[in-house]
Amino acid sequence: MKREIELKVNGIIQEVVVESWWSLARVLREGLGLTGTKISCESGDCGACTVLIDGKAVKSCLYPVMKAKNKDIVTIEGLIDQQGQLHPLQDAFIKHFAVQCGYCTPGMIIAAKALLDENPKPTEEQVKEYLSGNLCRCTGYKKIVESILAAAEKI
Amino acid sequence: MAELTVIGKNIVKIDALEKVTGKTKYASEEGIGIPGMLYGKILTSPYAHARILNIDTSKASRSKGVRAVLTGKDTPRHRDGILIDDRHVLCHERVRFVGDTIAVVAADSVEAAEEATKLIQVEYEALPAIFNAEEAMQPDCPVILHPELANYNRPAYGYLGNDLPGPNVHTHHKIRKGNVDKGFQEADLIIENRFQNDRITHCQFELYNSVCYPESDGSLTLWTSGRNAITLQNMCREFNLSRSKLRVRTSYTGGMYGLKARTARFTILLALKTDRPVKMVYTREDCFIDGLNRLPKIIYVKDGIKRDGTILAREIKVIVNTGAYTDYAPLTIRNGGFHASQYRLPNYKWDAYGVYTNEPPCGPLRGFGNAEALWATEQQMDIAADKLGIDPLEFRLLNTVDEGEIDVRGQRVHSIGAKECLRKAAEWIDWDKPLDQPKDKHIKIGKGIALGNKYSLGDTASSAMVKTNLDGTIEVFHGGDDCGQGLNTVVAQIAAEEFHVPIEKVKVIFGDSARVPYDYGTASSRSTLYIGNAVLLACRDAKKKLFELAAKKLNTTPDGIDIRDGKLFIISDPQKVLDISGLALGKSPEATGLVKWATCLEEGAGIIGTASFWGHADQEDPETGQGERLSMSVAYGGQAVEVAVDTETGIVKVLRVCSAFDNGKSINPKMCEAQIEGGVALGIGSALYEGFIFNDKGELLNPNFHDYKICSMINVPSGDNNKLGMVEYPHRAGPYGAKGVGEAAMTPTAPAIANAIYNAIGVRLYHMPMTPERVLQAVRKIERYHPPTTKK
Repeated sequence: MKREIELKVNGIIQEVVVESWWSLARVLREGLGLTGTKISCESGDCGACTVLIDGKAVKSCLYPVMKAKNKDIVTIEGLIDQQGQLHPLQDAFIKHFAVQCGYCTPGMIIAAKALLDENPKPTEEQVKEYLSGNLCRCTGYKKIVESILAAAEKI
Repeated sequence: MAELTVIGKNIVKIDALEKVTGKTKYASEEGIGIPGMLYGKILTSPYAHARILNIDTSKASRSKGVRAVLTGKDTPRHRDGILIDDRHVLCHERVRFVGDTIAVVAADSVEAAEEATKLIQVEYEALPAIFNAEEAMQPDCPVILHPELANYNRPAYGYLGNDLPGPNVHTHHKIRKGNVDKGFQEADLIIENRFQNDRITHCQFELYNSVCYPESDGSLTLWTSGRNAITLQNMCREFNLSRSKLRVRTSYTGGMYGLKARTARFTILLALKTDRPVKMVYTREDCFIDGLNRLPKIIYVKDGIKRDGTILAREIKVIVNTGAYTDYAPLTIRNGGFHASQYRLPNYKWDAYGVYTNEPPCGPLRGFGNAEALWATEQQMDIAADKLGIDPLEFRLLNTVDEGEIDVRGQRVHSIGAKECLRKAAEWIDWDKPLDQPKDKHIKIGKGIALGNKYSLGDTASSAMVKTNLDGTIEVFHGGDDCGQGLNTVVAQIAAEEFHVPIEKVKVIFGDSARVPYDYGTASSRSTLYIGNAVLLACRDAKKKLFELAAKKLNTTPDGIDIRDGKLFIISDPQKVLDISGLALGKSPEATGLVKWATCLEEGAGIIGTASFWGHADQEDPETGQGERLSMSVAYGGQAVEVAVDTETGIVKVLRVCSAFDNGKSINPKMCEAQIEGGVALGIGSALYEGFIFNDKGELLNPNFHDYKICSMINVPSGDNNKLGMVEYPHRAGPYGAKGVGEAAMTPTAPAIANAIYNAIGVRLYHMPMTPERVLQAVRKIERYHPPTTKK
């Protein structure tokens, strides 16, 4: 059934018309035009759709939009600060060549932010363990791990 | 030559900023929120092989929101293909694999389209199916997939249709050199083995998708997640359209490693029928089944070797299960024959057969035939070294070809750093240092090495345009694609180097058949060399034109002029400068009156440079596979790995990997490294985890990322445990000496891991992926039949 709901995304409360059974990922992309959140595996295995919900990394392709009401949602578009500065993770991904096709990148960066918020100085092993649910087919992960460790140094 | 200031430098990728901020518009973002958009869905066959008796679409057509339901009868009668015209856009009288496309639907919403596909009623008469390529290739095989094969058109490489041993065999590629029988007679040691690899797929993260817009002038604009706008225009043939009626657009693609274009033809079909824009996105399952997977092969290798380690003869028979249609498979089969170019093989015989079966069709996947062949032959090298008592590294070095030698295909070897790659990889993994085995008796550690390579196609061409603007900026138009490998950054670096401008002043235009000149496109690790050359030559063409104009104004000769930051200057007198805007037509003395203000003319004074580059390939002899110039360049790579094998569970973990690759010259070293790192991960995945599992009805049981595992972060070594570097043996035809390295990256990984497993536990695995089940089976077999007498 179609409903109009309010979602708080990247600090802004917006009204959006949704089908009640839609996933949050679909609403972000098709309802709000926040297409930085990607849909890839459709089964919660790859993490391309990762967003922050109340500070926790969540796979938004499996997250019902109706559950997202009254929650604080952050997508990749919300990572740049108010002065327009990149988040240190974004900067590190650029400088360490951790981006290839870029399709996993937004979800990867969001998941890495959740990690650093929880554990500001993770070890290499902790990074790999935490992000093992965020897959990438291009990079082989080496430069992603380097980027996250480098960003942790900066934060 | 002046010192290079941009080439060879780690210039930040020009698309990195937009990608880390989530702004990049991939094809998957095209058409979102556009009113009037229709959404397409496919209906596929539940049978591996069946006759279609009747299709009733009446219920589906009446379903709410449905605008079109199309079946085979709505598609052209003729078949199409890449090398063999063997497939209809939608099935006509027969389905040939579980997943063969029977119908397409366009509706107002994805859900309405999906609902309608369920209402299409198809009556089938099931036919016996065949899945085993060795059975399917027999002359008396009772199941024949394409009874009319002999009459099919072969638009390219027609000689691959000669000498076919059975009715399901569509391709036979031969290489003949010397006399293998004589070589085997003279050999001290004969080694024969059978290797096999399962089907894998690309798992690009962007789901296959396209959008087709009917334009007001009756033409179509197609957006697709595929690659190569210009070659995709070939689809016109399937719809009897002229090329000018189909504009193809691509964007940054969400991964490639092969192909992902099949949604395109369905959206074209639906847009033509409905005169409405149509968007179609494959499900992940569709992407597995209709994804043109990597070819499953059975490879028999027979080697004849002298006691001193000289290989005298090698005979290879390859049986390739190409599934129900051929697509790129015949070329993949033929090009797999290039893998052997790294060793000195005086007597050589290769027969590769492509066989139709009732499995999904196959196509290109990173390596285009080489990786699977090397999976077999690089293990064979270790088996031989072991029997001869020679170190596997030394055995390889002994047989690796050198610059100037003639390879097994008759080509003169050029730009080969293979030996240095092997030595570097070995050095980094401490090849000669014995390993400390862990205290846990079930865990055994071993090291392995392999040499890989990947050719780049010889018979293709690229062209490029370079536009110089009056503000000093440069626009580069090319017909390749940036799938993440960084082609746009490479061509921007080339233009920045040639015009001595910061990279920010270069704009790259790509992925639009209406704007870019001809290109075979991004494939075969060819972009850096071919497209890079075309861009380099186009830059020089533009500079030549600029310098000729400037020479008149500066009262000198064109060869005395250079350009930097949009300013032309006399080389011998750099104070004499002419801003590029000074070449504007409006500033010409011939321009009088109002023309002086005509901006269109001023802009028209922008100089356009154009150039083409092609491979000048030689004809291959169809009987011997020989030719002096069949491939353009070859990238080589040595990889050494250290693995831990748990003999209780069969689980293999890659602990360290060291890779050295010869790419001629790194235009951007970090991007080259990144290619190798990605190749390593795909290589590890293919070696240990990835493989299609079908049931006996031909249904794919694991078409998702849950049951088909690709490497996650914890499966791939990082930091110092993943060491790599480039060795640069410049290629004479490459821009600045560069050659493509993207595909070579994964070619040695799987056999290196297999060799390391053998080193760890003395068990040889012939079937990829080397899953825990297969490792355990092999361990048990050895324990039962060949209990160890001495510890290795």
